[in-house]
Amino acid sequence: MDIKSFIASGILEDYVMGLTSEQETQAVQCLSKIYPEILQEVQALEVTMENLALSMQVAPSAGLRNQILQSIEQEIATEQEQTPSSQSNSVITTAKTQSTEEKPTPSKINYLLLGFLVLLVIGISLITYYGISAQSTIANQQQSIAELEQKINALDLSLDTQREEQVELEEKLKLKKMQLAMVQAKGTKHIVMKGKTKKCESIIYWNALDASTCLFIRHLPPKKVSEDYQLWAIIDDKPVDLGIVSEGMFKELSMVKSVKKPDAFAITIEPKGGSAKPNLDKLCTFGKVV
Amino acid sequence: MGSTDQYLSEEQLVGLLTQGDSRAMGILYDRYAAALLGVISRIIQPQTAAEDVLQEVFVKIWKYRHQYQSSKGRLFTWMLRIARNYSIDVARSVNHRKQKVTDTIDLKTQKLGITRDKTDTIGVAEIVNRLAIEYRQVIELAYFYGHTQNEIAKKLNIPLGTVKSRVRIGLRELKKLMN
Repeated sequence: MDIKSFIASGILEDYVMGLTSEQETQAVQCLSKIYPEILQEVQALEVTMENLALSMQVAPSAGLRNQILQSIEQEIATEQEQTPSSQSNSVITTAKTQSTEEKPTPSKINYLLLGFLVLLVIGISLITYYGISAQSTIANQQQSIAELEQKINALDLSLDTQREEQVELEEKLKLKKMQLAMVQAKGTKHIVMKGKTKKCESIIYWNALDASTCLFIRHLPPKKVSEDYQLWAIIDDKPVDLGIVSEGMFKELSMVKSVKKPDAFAITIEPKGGSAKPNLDKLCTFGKVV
Repeated sequence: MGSTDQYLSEEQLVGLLTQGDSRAMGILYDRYAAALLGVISRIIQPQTAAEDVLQEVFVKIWKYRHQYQSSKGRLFTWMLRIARNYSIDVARSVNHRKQKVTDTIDLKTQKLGITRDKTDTIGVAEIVNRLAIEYRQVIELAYFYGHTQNEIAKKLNIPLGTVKSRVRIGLRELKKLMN
Protein backbone atom coordinates (compact mmCIF):
# COMPACT_ATOMS: atom_id res chain seq x y z
CA MET A 1 0.00 0.00 0.00
CA ASP A 2 1.51 3.32 -1.07
CA ILE A 3 0.45 6.76 -2.25
CA LYS A 4 0.15 5.61 -5.85
CA SER A 5 -2.28 2.83 -5.07
CA PHE A 6 -4.18 5.16 -2.76
CA ILE A 7 -4.61 7.61 -5.64
CA ALA A 8 -5.55 4.73 -7.95
CA SER A 9 -8.20 3.45 -5.50
CA GLY A 10 -10.75 5.95 -6.86
CA ILE A 11 -11.46 7.65 -3.55
CA LEU A 12 -10.19 11.01 -4.83
CA GLU A 13 -12.66 10.89 -7.72
CA ASP A 14 -15.44 10.15 -5.22
CA TYR A 15 -14.25 13.02 -3.03
CA VAL A 16 -14.25 15.58 -5.84
CA MET A 17 -17.70 14.40 -6.92
CA GLY A 18 -19.02 14.92 -3.39
CA LEU A 19 -19.74 11.21 -2.91
CA THR A 20 -17.51 10.45 0.08
CA SER A 21 -18.74 10.08 3.65
CA GLU A 22 -17.85 12.74 6.20
CA GLN A 23 -15.14 10.48 7.58
CA GLU A 24 -13.59 9.88 4.15
CA THR A 25 -13.80 13.57 3.27
CA GLN A 26 -11.90 14.49 6.42
CA ALA A 27 -9.30 11.83 5.71
CA VAL A 28 -8.72 12.99 2.12
CA GLN A 29 -8.34 16.60 3.30
CA CYS A 30 -5.95 15.46 6.00
CA LEU A 31 -3.84 13.33 3.66
CA SER A 32 -3.71 15.96 0.92
CA LYS A 33 -2.13 18.33 3.42
CA ILE A 34 0.61 15.81 4.05
CA TYR A 35 1.24 14.42 0.58
CA PRO A 36 1.80 16.84 -2.30
CA GLU A 37 1.05 14.04 -4.80
CA ILE A 38 -2.46 13.62 -3.37
CA LEU A 39 -3.05 17.39 -3.27
CA GLN A 40 -1.92 17.66 -6.88
CA GLU A 41 -4.28 14.88 -7.98
CA VAL A 42 -7.23 16.39 -6.08
CA GLN A 43 -6.56 19.79 -7.64
CA ALA A 44 -6.29 18.30 -11.13
CA LEU A 45 -9.68 16.61 -10.64
CA GLU A 46 -11.16 19.85 -9.28
CA VAL A 47 -9.90 21.70 -12.35
CA THR A 48 -11.58 19.05 -14.50
CA MET A 49 -14.93 19.65 -12.77
CA GLU A 50 -14.41 23.41 -13.00
CA ASN A 51 -13.82 23.09 -16.73
CA LEU A 52 -16.93 20.97 -17.03
CA ALA A 53 -18.89 23.75 -15.30
CA LEU A 54 -17.26 26.38 -17.50
CA SER A 55 -18.36 24.43 -20.56
CA MET A 56 -22.04 24.76 -19.69
CA GLN A 57 -22.34 28.49 -19.12
CA VAL A 58 -25.70 30.22 -19.21
CA ALA A 59 -25.61 34.00 -19.64
CA PRO A 60 -27.42 35.81 -16.79
CA SER A 61 -29.95 38.58 -17.55
CA ALA A 62 -28.53 42.06 -18.04
CA GLY A 63 -29.69 43.64 -14.77
CA LEU A 64 -28.68 40.77 -12.53
CA ARG A 65 -25.11 41.95 -11.89
CA ASN A 66 -26.23 45.23 -10.29
CA GLN A 67 -29.03 43.53 -8.38
CA ILE A 68 -26.64 40.99 -6.88
CA LEU A 69 -23.96 43.55 -6.01
CA GLN A 70 -26.66 45.66 -4.32
CA SER A 71 -27.84 42.75 -2.20
CA ILE A 72 -24.23 42.21 -1.12
CA GLU A 73 -23.97 45.89 -0.13
CA GLN A 74 -27.10 45.33 1.96
CA GLU A 75 -25.49 42.28 3.54
CA ILE A 76 -22.42 44.40 4.38
CA ALA A 77 -24.67 47.00 6.02
CA THR A 78 -26.32 44.34 8.22
CA GLU A 79 -22.92 42.83 9.02
CA GLN A 80 -21.73 46.20 10.28
CA GLU A 81 -24.75 46.51 12.56
CA GLN A 82 -24.04 43.15 14.17
CA THR A 83 -21.26 42.53 16.65
CA PRO A 84 -18.20 41.01 15.01
CA SER A 85 -18.33 37.89 17.20
CA SER A 86 -21.71 36.81 15.91
CA GLN A 87 -20.41 36.59 12.36
CA SER A 88 -19.17 33.59 10.44
CA ASN A 89 -20.79 31.11 12.77
CA SER A 90 -23.19 30.02 10.11
CA VAL A 91 -22.69 26.64 8.55
CA ILE A 92 -23.07 25.83 4.88
CA THR A 93 -25.90 23.40 4.51
CA THR A 94 -25.06 20.12 2.87
CA ALA A 95 -26.93 18.53 0.04
CA LYS A 96 -27.99 15.62 2.17
CA THR A 97 -30.89 17.39 3.92
CA GLN A 98 -33.96 15.29 4.36
CA SER A 99 -37.30 16.65 3.33
CA THR A 100 -39.79 16.91 6.16
CA GLU A 101 -42.90 14.82 6.17
CA GLU A 102 -45.73 16.00 4.00
CA LYS A 103 -48.80 17.38 5.70
CA PRO A 104 -52.12 16.47 4.09
CA THR A 105 -53.76 19.48 2.45
CA PRO A 106 -57.55 19.97 2.68
CA SER A 107 -58.00 18.88 -0.94
CA LYS A 108 -56.00 15.71 -0.26
CA ILE A 109 -58.22 14.93 2.73
CA ASN A 110 -61.26 15.34 0.48
CA TYR A 111 -59.79 12.89 -2.04
CA LEU A 112 -58.97 10.44 0.71
CA LEU A 113 -62.51 10.70 2.05
CA LEU A 114 -63.95 10.25 -1.42
CA GLY A 115 -61.70 7.23 -2.04
CA PHE A 116 -62.74 5.71 1.25
CA LEU A 117 -66.43 6.18 0.46
CA VAL A 118 -66.00 4.62 -2.98
CA LEU A 119 -64.26 1.61 -1.41
CA LEU A 120 -67.02 1.32 1.18
CA VAL A 121 -69.75 1.35 -1.49
CA ILE A 122 -67.83 -1.25 -3.56
CA GLY A 123 -67.34 -3.37 -0.46
CA ILE A 124 -70.99 -3.30 0.52
CA SER A 125 -72.18 -4.12 -3.01
CA LEU A 126 -69.68 -7.02 -3.23
CA ILE A 127 -70.94 -8.48 0.02
CA THR A 128 -74.57 -8.26 -1.04
CA TYR A 129 -73.76 -9.65 -4.49
CA TYR A 130 -71.75 -12.70 -3.49
CA GLY A 131 -73.50 -13.52 -0.27
CA ILE A 132 -71.96 -14.71 2.96
CA SER A 133 -69.98 -17.74 1.63
CA ALA A 134 -68.27 -15.69 -1.09
CA GLN A 135 -67.50 -13.07 1.50
CA SER A 136 -65.50 -15.52 3.58
CA THR A 137 -63.46 -16.58 0.49
CA ILE A 138 -62.58 -12.95 -0.14
CA ALA A 139 -61.60 -12.59 3.48
CA ASN A 140 -59.35 -15.66 3.18
CA GLN A 141 -57.70 -14.31 0.05
CA GLN A 142 -57.17 -10.95 1.66
CA GLN A 143 -55.55 -12.62 4.60
CA SER A 144 -53.12 -14.60 2.43
CA ILE A 145 -52.29 -11.43 0.45
CA ALA A 146 -51.56 -9.64 3.72
CA GLU A 147 -49.33 -12.54 4.79
CA LEU A 148 -47.42 -12.44 1.50
CA GLU A 149 -46.97 -8.68 1.82
CA GLN A 150 -45.57 -9.15 5.29
CA LYS A 151 -43.07 -11.71 4.02
CA ILE A 152 -41.97 -9.41 1.18
CA ASN A 153 -41.53 -6.54 3.61
CA ALA A 154 -39.43 -8.69 5.92
CA LEU A 155 -37.21 -9.76 3.00
CA ASP A 156 -36.80 -6.15 1.85
CA LEU A 157 -35.82 -5.13 5.35
CA SER A 158 -33.10 -7.77 5.71
CA LEU A 159 -31.76 -6.90 2.24
CA ASP A 160 -31.50 -3.23 3.27
CA THR A 161 -29.61 -4.09 6.44
CA GLN A 162 -27.21 -6.27 4.49
CA ARG A 163 -26.54 -3.43 2.05
CA GLU A 164 -25.91 -1.01 4.90
CA GLU A 165 -23.52 -3.45 6.52
CA GLN A 166 -21.66 -3.86 3.25
CA VAL A 167 -21.26 -0.09 2.80
CA GLU A 168 -20.05 0.20 6.38
CA LEU A 169 -17.44 -2.51 5.83
CA GLU A 170 -16.25 -0.88 2.61
CA GLU A 171 -15.78 2.41 4.44
CA LYS A 172 -13.82 0.77 7.22
CA LEU A 173 -11.58 -0.93 4.68
CA LYS A 174 -10.90 2.37 2.88
CA LEU A 175 -9.98 4.06 6.14
CA LYS A 176 -7.63 1.23 7.03
CA LYS A 177 -5.93 1.55 3.64
CA MET A 178 -5.48 5.27 4.14
CA GLN A 179 -3.92 4.81 7.54
CA LEU A 180 -1.53 2.27 6.08
CA ALA A 181 -0.53 4.69 3.32
CA MET A 182 0.19 7.31 5.89
CA VAL A 183 2.23 5.10 8.19
CA GLN A 184 4.51 4.08 5.34
CA ALA A 185 4.99 7.58 3.91
CA LYS A 186 8.35 9.30 3.74
CA GLY A 187 9.01 11.51 6.75
CA THR A 188 5.95 10.40 8.73
CA LYS A 189 6.67 9.39 12.28
CA HIS A 190 4.35 7.10 14.12
CA ILE A 191 4.14 8.13 17.77
CA VAL A 192 2.22 5.90 20.14
CA MET A 193 0.81 7.74 23.15
CA LYS A 194 0.33 5.35 26.03
CA GLY A 195 -2.17 5.56 28.87
CA LYS A 196 -2.89 3.70 32.08
CA THR A 197 -4.44 0.78 30.22
CA LYS A 198 -3.58 -0.76 26.86
CA LYS A 199 -7.01 0.34 25.62
CA CYS A 200 -6.01 4.01 26.03
CA GLU A 201 -3.33 3.95 23.33
CA SER A 202 -3.59 6.78 20.82
CA ILE A 203 -1.45 7.50 17.79
CA ILE A 204 0.04 10.72 16.46
CA TYR A 205 1.22 10.81 12.85
CA TRP A 206 3.72 13.60 12.60
CA ASN A 207 5.45 14.45 9.36
CA ALA A 208 8.96 15.82 9.82
CA LEU A 209 9.05 17.27 6.31
CA ASP A 210 6.10 19.66 6.55
CA ALA A 211 5.25 19.57 10.29
CA SER A 212 1.68 18.40 9.61
CA THR A 213 0.13 16.39 12.40
CA CYS A 214 -2.74 13.92 12.50
CA LEU A 215 -4.33 12.25 15.49
CA PHE A 216 -6.03 8.89 15.88
CA ILE A 217 -7.65 8.17 19.25
CA ARG A 218 -8.79 4.69 20.18
CA HIS A 219 -10.08 5.41 23.65
CA LEU A 220 -9.63 7.91 26.47
CA PRO A 221 -10.56 7.56 30.16
CA PRO A 222 -13.99 9.04 31.01
CA LYS A 223 -14.28 12.74 31.89
CA LYS A 224 -16.99 14.94 33.45
CA VAL A 225 -19.38 16.98 31.30
CA SER A 226 -17.74 20.12 32.70
CA GLU A 227 -14.36 19.02 31.32
CA ASP A 228 -12.62 18.75 27.95
CA TYR A 229 -9.79 16.63 26.56
CA GLN A 230 -6.87 18.80 25.46
CA LEU A 231 -3.96 17.86 23.19
CA TRP A 232 -0.46 19.16 23.89
CA ALA A 233 2.92 19.06 22.22
CA ILE A 234 6.01 19.31 24.39
CA ILE A 235 8.68 21.47 22.74
CA ASP A 236 11.91 22.30 24.62
CA ASP A 237 10.27 21.14 27.88
CA LYS A 238 7.40 23.58 27.40
CA PRO A 239 3.79 22.51 26.73
CA VAL A 240 2.20 23.94 23.57
CA ASP A 241 -1.59 23.84 23.24
CA LEU A 242 -2.79 21.85 20.19
CA GLY A 243 -6.47 22.33 20.90
CA ILE A 244 -9.48 20.55 22.35
CA VAL A 245 -10.14 16.94 21.35
CA SER A 246 -13.83 16.33 20.86
CA GLU A 247 -15.48 12.93 21.30
CA GLY A 248 -16.43 13.11 17.63
CA MET A 249 -12.75 12.70 16.76
CA PHE A 250 -12.55 9.30 18.44
CA LYS A 251 -11.57 6.48 16.10
CA GLU A 252 -11.19 8.90 13.21
CA LEU A 253 -8.07 10.25 11.62
CA SER A 254 -8.18 14.00 12.29
CA MET A 255 -5.88 16.83 11.38
CA VAL A 256 -4.64 18.91 14.34
CA LYS A 257 -2.45 22.04 14.55
CA SER A 258 0.92 21.48 12.92
CA VAL A 259 4.03 21.62 15.12
CA LYS A 260 7.72 21.95 14.38
CA LYS A 261 10.24 19.80 16.28
CA PRO A 262 8.01 18.36 19.01
CA ASP A 263 9.70 16.25 21.67
CA ALA A 264 6.49 14.59 22.84
CA PHE A 265 2.69 14.65 22.66
CA ALA A 266 0.14 14.32 25.48
CA ILE A 267 -3.59 14.48 26.18
CA THR A 268 -4.92 15.77 29.51
CA ILE A 269 -8.35 16.42 31.01
CA GLU A 270 -8.91 20.14 31.60
CA PRO A 271 -11.82 22.35 32.67
CA LYS A 272 -14.31 23.07 29.85
CA GLY A 273 -12.71 25.19 27.14
CA GLY A 274 -9.17 24.06 27.90
CA SER A 275 -6.32 25.54 29.93
CA ALA A 276 -3.15 27.51 29.24
CA LYS A 277 -1.07 24.90 31.05
CA PRO A 278 -1.73 21.17 31.27
CA ASN A 279 -3.01 19.61 34.49
CA LEU A 280 -0.55 16.72 34.83
CA ASP A 281 -2.65 15.05 37.56
CA LYS A 282 -5.16 14.24 34.83
CA LEU A 283 -2.76 13.03 32.16
CA CYS A 284 -4.56 10.54 29.89
CA THR A 285 -1.90 9.57 27.36
CA PHE A 286 1.69 10.50 26.63
CA GLY A 287 4.15 9.61 23.89
CA LYS A 288 7.71 10.68 23.09
CA VAL A 289 8.92 11.44 19.58
CA VAL A 290 11.86 9.15 18.85
CA MET B 1 -14.44 47.77 -12.41
CA GLY B 2 -11.12 48.77 -13.89
CA SER B 3 -9.57 46.69 -16.63
CA THR B 4 -6.70 45.62 -14.32
CA ASP B 5 -9.19 43.48 -12.36
CA GLN B 6 -9.12 41.00 -15.20
CA TYR B 7 -5.52 40.20 -14.41
CA LEU B 8 -5.87 39.49 -10.71
CA SER B 9 -4.63 35.99 -9.85
CA GLU B 10 -6.84 33.64 -7.85
CA GLU B 11 -4.55 34.22 -4.87
CA GLN B 12 -5.00 37.99 -5.03
CA LEU B 13 -8.73 37.53 -5.44
CA VAL B 14 -8.90 35.31 -2.36
CA GLY B 15 -6.94 38.00 -0.51
CA LEU B 16 -9.45 40.69 -1.48
CA LEU B 17 -12.36 38.46 -0.53
CA THR B 18 -11.09 37.45 2.90
CA GLN B 19 -10.14 41.04 3.69
CA GLY B 20 -13.81 41.87 3.14
CA ASP B 21 -13.22 43.99 0.05
CA SER B 22 -16.57 43.90 -1.77
CA ARG B 23 -14.87 44.68 -5.11
CA ALA B 24 -13.95 40.99 -5.13
CA MET B 25 -17.63 40.14 -5.67
CA GLY B 26 -17.83 42.15 -8.90
CA ILE B 27 -14.77 40.35 -10.24
CA LEU B 28 -16.11 36.96 -9.16
CA TYR B 29 -19.40 37.76 -10.85
CA ASP B 30 -17.69 38.67 -14.12
CA ARG B 31 -15.60 35.52 -14.08
CA TYR B 32 -17.98 32.90 -12.80
CA ALA B 33 -21.65 34.03 -12.80
CA ALA B 34 -22.39 32.42 -16.19
CA ALA B 35 -20.77 29.11 -15.21
CA LEU B 36 -22.55 29.06 -11.82
CA LEU B 37 -25.85 29.87 -13.52
CA GLY B 38 -25.17 26.98 -15.90
CA VAL B 39 -24.86 24.60 -12.96
CA ILE B 40 -27.88 26.05 -11.13
CA SER B 41 -30.04 25.92 -14.28
CA ARG B 42 -29.49 22.17 -14.49
CA ILE B 43 -31.25 21.82 -11.16
CA ILE B 44 -33.56 24.84 -11.02
CA GLN B 45 -35.92 25.96 -13.81
CA PRO B 46 -37.16 28.40 -15.16
CA GLN B 47 -34.21 30.75 -15.55
CA THR B 48 -35.79 33.48 -13.39
CA ALA B 49 -35.87 31.02 -10.48
CA ALA B 50 -32.28 29.97 -11.25
CA GLU B 51 -31.22 33.63 -11.17
CA ASP B 52 -32.84 34.08 -7.76
CA VAL B 53 -30.78 31.12 -6.56
CA LEU B 54 -27.65 32.65 -8.15
CA GLN B 55 -28.24 35.86 -6.19
CA GLU B 56 -28.57 33.91 -2.95
CA VAL B 57 -25.41 31.94 -3.84
CA PHE B 58 -23.39 35.15 -4.24
CA VAL B 59 -24.71 36.44 -0.90
CA LYS B 60 -23.65 33.12 0.66
CA ILE B 61 -20.18 33.39 -0.91
CA TRP B 62 -19.86 36.79 0.71
CA LYS B 63 -21.27 35.64 4.06
CA TYR B 64 -19.11 32.52 4.27
CA ARG B 65 -15.94 34.13 2.89
CA HIS B 66 -14.13 33.51 6.20
CA GLN B 67 -14.82 29.78 5.93
CA TYR B 68 -12.99 29.47 2.64
CA GLN B 69 -9.56 27.85 3.06
CA SER B 70 -7.32 27.62 0.03
CA SER B 71 -5.69 24.56 1.57
CA LYS B 72 -8.99 22.68 1.30
CA GLY B 73 -9.57 23.40 -2.38
CA ARG B 74 -9.70 25.93 -5.16
CA LEU B 75 -11.88 29.04 -4.92
CA PHE B 76 -14.09 28.29 -7.92
CA THR B 77 -14.52 24.68 -6.73
CA TRP B 78 -15.69 26.04 -3.38
CA MET B 79 -18.13 28.40 -5.12
CA LEU B 80 -19.41 25.55 -7.29
CA ARG B 81 -20.02 23.47 -4.16
CA ILE B 82 -22.08 26.26 -2.57
CA ALA B 83 -24.09 26.70 -5.79
CA ARG B 84 -24.68 22.97 -6.18
CA ASN B 85 -25.62 22.31 -2.54
CA TYR B 86 -27.94 25.29 -2.31
CA SER B 87 -29.65 24.46 -5.63
CA ILE B 88 -30.25 20.90 -4.46
CA ASP B 89 -31.69 22.19 -1.17
CA VAL B 90 -34.02 24.53 -3.03
CA ALA B 91 -35.01 21.84 -5.56
CA ARG B 92 -35.82 19.39 -2.77
CA SER B 93 -37.96 21.88 -0.90
CA VAL B 94 -39.81 22.77 -4.12
CA ASN B 95 -40.16 19.17 -5.25
CA HIS B 96 -41.59 18.48 -1.86
CA ARG B 97 -44.70 20.26 -3.06
CA LYS B 98 -44.46 19.87 -6.83
CA GLN B 99 -43.38 17.00 -8.99
CA LYS B 100 -39.71 16.28 -9.45
CA VAL B 101 -38.16 18.42 -12.14
CA THR B 102 -35.06 16.34 -12.60
CA ASP B 103 -37.04 13.16 -13.17
CA THR B 104 -38.59 14.52 -16.31
CA ILE B 105 -35.27 15.11 -18.02
CA ASP B 106 -34.65 12.74 -20.89
CA LEU B 107 -31.22 11.41 -20.14
CA LYS B 108 -30.55 9.90 -23.53
CA THR B 109 -30.91 13.14 -25.42
CA GLN B 110 -29.20 15.19 -22.74
CA LYS B 111 -26.24 17.18 -23.99
CA LEU B 112 -23.91 19.67 -22.42
CA GLY B 113 -24.88 22.88 -24.13
CA ILE B 114 -22.99 26.08 -24.62
CA THR B 115 -25.17 29.13 -24.57
CA ARG B 116 -22.49 31.72 -24.31
CA ASP B 117 -19.91 32.32 -26.94
CA LYS B 118 -16.68 32.24 -25.03
CA THR B 119 -13.64 31.23 -27.02
CA ASP B 120 -11.72 29.65 -24.17
CA THR B 121 -14.53 27.31 -23.16
CA ILE B 122 -15.77 26.10 -26.53
CA GLY B 123 -12.91 23.63 -26.78
CA VAL B 124 -13.82 22.18 -23.39
CA ALA B 125 -17.47 21.66 -24.34
CA GLU B 126 -16.46 19.83 -27.47
CA ILE B 127 -14.10 17.64 -25.54
CA VAL B 128 -16.75 16.85 -22.94
CA ASN B 129 -19.19 15.85 -25.66
CA ARG B 130 -16.63 13.34 -26.88
CA LEU B 131 -16.84 11.50 -23.56
CA ALA B 132 -19.00 8.40 -23.90
CA ILE B 133 -22.61 9.04 -22.91
CA GLU B 134 -22.66 6.42 -20.14
CA TYR B 135 -19.85 8.17 -18.30
CA ARG B 136 -21.20 11.67 -18.84
CA GLN B 137 -24.60 10.58 -17.54
CA VAL B 138 -23.38 9.34 -14.18
CA ILE B 139 -21.06 12.33 -13.69
CA GLU B 140 -23.86 14.78 -14.42
CA LEU B 141 -26.40 12.95 -12.28
CA ALA B 142 -24.02 12.76 -9.34
CA TYR B 143 -22.34 16.14 -9.56
CA PHE B 144 -24.89 18.45 -11.09
CA TYR B 145 -28.11 16.87 -9.90
CA GLY B 146 -26.80 15.75 -6.54
CA HIS B 147 -28.11 12.19 -6.80
CA THR B 148 -26.58 9.53 -4.61
CA GLN B 149 -25.00 6.55 -6.33
CA ASN B 150 -27.89 4.38 -5.15
CA GLU B 151 -30.40 6.74 -6.77
CA ILE B 152 -28.43 6.71 -10.02
CA ALA B 153 -28.35 2.92 -10.03
CA LYS B 154 -32.14 2.82 -9.65
CA LYS B 155 -32.74 5.56 -12.21
CA LEU B 156 -30.56 4.03 -14.92
CA ASN B 157 -31.39 0.47 -13.87
CA ILE B 158 -27.75 -0.61 -13.57
CA PRO B 159 -25.93 -2.21 -10.61
CA LEU B 160 -24.43 0.04 -7.93
CA GLY B 161 -20.94 -1.28 -8.65
CA THR B 162 -21.27 -0.19 -12.28
CA VAL B 163 -22.29 3.32 -11.19
CA LYS B 164 -19.25 3.54 -8.92
CA SER B 165 -16.79 2.43 -11.58
CA ARG B 166 -18.39 4.65 -14.22
CA VAL B 167 -18.05 7.74 -12.02
CA ARG B 168 -14.37 7.01 -11.44
CA ILE B 169 -13.46 6.00 -14.99
CA GLY B 170 -15.54 8.86 -16.42
CA LEU B 171 -13.84 11.49 -14.33
CA ARG B 172 -10.41 10.05 -15.11
CA GLU B 173 -11.18 10.05 -18.83
CA LEU B 174 -12.47 13.59 -18.63
CA LYS B 175 -9.30 14.66 -16.88
CA LYS B 176 -7.19 13.01 -19.58
CA LEU B 177 -9.20 14.70 -22.32
CA MET B 178 -8.90 18.12 -20.75
CA ASN B 179 -5.37 18.25 -19.39
